[in-house]
Amino acid sequence: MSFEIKSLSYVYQRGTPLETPALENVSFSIGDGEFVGIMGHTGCGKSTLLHLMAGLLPAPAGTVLIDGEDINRKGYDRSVLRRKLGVLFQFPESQLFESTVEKDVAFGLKHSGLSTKDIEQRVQWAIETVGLDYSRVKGQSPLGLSGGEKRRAAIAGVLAVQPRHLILDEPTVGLDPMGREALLELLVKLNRDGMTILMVSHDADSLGEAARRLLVLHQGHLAADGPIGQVFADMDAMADWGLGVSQSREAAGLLARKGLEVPQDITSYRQLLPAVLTALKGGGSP
Amino acid sequence: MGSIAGKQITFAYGYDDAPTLNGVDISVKPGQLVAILGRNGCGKSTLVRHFNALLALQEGELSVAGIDVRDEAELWRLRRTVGMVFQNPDNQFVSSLVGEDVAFGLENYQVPRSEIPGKVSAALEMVGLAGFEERSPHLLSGGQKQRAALAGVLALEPEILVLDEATAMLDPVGRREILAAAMDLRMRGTTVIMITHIVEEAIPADLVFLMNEGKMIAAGTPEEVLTVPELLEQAGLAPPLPVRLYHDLRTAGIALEHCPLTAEALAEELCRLK
Repeated sequence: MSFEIKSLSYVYQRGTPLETPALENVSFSIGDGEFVGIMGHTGCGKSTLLHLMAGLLPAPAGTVLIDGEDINRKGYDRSVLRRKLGVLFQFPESQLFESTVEKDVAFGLKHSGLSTKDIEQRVQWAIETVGLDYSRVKGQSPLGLSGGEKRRAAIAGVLAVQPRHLILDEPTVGLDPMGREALLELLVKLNRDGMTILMVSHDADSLGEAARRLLVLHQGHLAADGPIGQVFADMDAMADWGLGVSQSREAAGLLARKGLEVPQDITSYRQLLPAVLTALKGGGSP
Repeated sequence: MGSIAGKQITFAYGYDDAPTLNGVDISVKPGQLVAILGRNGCGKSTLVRHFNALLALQEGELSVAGIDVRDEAELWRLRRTVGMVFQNPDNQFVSSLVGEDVAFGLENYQVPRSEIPGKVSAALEMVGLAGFEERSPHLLSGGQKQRAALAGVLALEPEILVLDEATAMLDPVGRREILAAAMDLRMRGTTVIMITHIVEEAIPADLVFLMNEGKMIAAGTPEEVLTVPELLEQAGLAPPLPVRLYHDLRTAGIALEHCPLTAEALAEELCRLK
């Protein structure tokens, strides 16, 4: 198991008049190599959950196990966690700071004990993995890149450490369609190569394309957990939680209401097109 | 009134830089809801920043609401005629109270003090934030923040409103709120220019402009522009889902009568076929 979250609760400003529960008794586990999406309306506790899972907040109630180890246990070596878990926050490009892309991507490897030569190779690998032209960008200022390129450079900085698990918070926000497409392809590829991916997003279309399983957080509780097609299938429940579903799922719902036999667990266009073709060819005849 | 007429607008940020805008023509009639579509870096924000002379016109001609943007004597009037809301709601607040923030522009234009509270509450009401005067901007949701920023602009009663990717950083609920406010303004006769790379947001527009690499590559109704995948792809964008499906079905030998823009229209078309 990559992550085992057991009875996790979190209260902000406990013991004060401003006490606000953020998470209440949340439990789930994520296996190695899964691609899991998390959705939830603004203020549902997603960010708190991410911070707890990344060990950035201590867990006062409940446990967070990563690769079987309690990350809040006394004496747990946090540097191990930092190497195996990559975290990409919202608008990661705002964290680019070095004078060149190469230096920025290499930053996380500074105290890794790797030789200069190895670091150089690792940086080249990371930059190429995110689809940037190494020889073009390595000496360039990260601030001179386009929006989509900056985000990729920031991701390269996380990948350079070669984490086994990757947590991303709203990675597609603000990207144009091509940037979004390229990012999703990259995530799917990393996942195929064995990386566990946990992606928090409002972007139901992206999750519908890339994630296989979906968790829904609602007012601090885990409201749903299952294959994404199954969770999206209940559009009324999604709407009650203040969430949308993917456009393909929405279209499938509308088509079904008009009498076309289209399955209702569709989440992506890849599934929608053949389903519509089948429905039209079937044409209602036996 | 809120018309825009631009011819051969060319602009470069630096002396040696390739032009960001390269001979752009644009023509908008008063009261239209206009979408300017294009990928990141296509020049769409650069273009609209000419509308209120945030960027000085280098080459070409541009007249906005009948004002020549080069006329420095008219700069204040131009700025008041063209309101702008930008992408990041957090960068647009100058005060710790929503009411004071909305009043900021009015104070700058020396609107009599006695008139300000009335104009502020009217503007807040217009964006669905009636009674928010005493609230703190940083405690609002993203969509509410953007609407508060919008109220600050609307308080000045602009003839033209420019939304420069004003929905890009919002969640789906916030995005819907801003789009609803835009539609509402159009109903009241304001010219609304939306800049976006989300093609679906352009569907309700009267007029769609498509930009790529500093050039205007298409202009027309949503039906004319958004149903042509080749055009959108040339601009680095993807067609709306119903359009994509229409064309893929066609390739598979199934021809729908019309190319639908919305999922509802798509369902209608498919049923007609059945």
